[in-house]
Amino acid sequence: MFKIKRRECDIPMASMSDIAFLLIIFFITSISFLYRQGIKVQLPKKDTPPAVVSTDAILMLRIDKEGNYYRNDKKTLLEEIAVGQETAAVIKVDKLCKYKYLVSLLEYLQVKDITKISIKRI
Amino acid sequence: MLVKRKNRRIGIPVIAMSDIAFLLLIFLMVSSMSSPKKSTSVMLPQVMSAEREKMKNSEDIFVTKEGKYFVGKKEVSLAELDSFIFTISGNKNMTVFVYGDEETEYNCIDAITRLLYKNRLQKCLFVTKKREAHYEN
Repeated sequence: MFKIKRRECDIPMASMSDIAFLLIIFFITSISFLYRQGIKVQLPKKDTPPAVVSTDAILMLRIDKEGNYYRNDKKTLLEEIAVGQETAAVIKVDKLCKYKYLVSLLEYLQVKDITKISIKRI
Repeated sequence: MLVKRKNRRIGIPVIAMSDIAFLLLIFLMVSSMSSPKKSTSVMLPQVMSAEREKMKNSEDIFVTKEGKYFVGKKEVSLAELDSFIFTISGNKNMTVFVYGDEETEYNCIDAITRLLYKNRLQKCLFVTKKREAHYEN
């Protein structure tokens, strides 16, 4: 009769935890490479009629080349653009206006839940 | 007098070595995932709240503050950009990431959105950077 000799197997916990942490760090870091953050823009479909929105529900905005904001041709600050019943916005942007001013306005409108936006270059 | 040499056993620390090997492996994996995007110097506009979009099924277009267009590392003209967008427009679920410099004139961004519209691509993302402070004008 054979006697099976029991060998004790030790799992090196210290190095295992090292590797586990490294894997966690790897996954956390790799997630940031899979995404980009920004302002989503859904462009209209070609050959579809434009959306009809009542004039009361439209916010008329303009950005000049210096980055000044206007509401109904009245100069205003970005934080002072009050949004009431409006659900849509028409933004006229000067062609020489810096991109950052448009992005700030788009972000502001997004926060205020205005998603239908028409941008016109002037 | 004879000095007796002590025979010391030299052992290789396998545990520490495996740690380092894993570290190297992870470093290589992470560094291979980062794309060469940062080569184009673009100062992204900063926003406080931004949406996240998966990079899967996407193409990148860079616009520098001088108004130059880049696809990857290659500088392209507006006509070349048009043909590039035309080639990717077969996939209607394609998202185009626009990396515009904050100092770029709107004219250049408008040219891209017009090309996307012309080529029936609807999904676009104005890539931004996170800002901690409040709105400033």
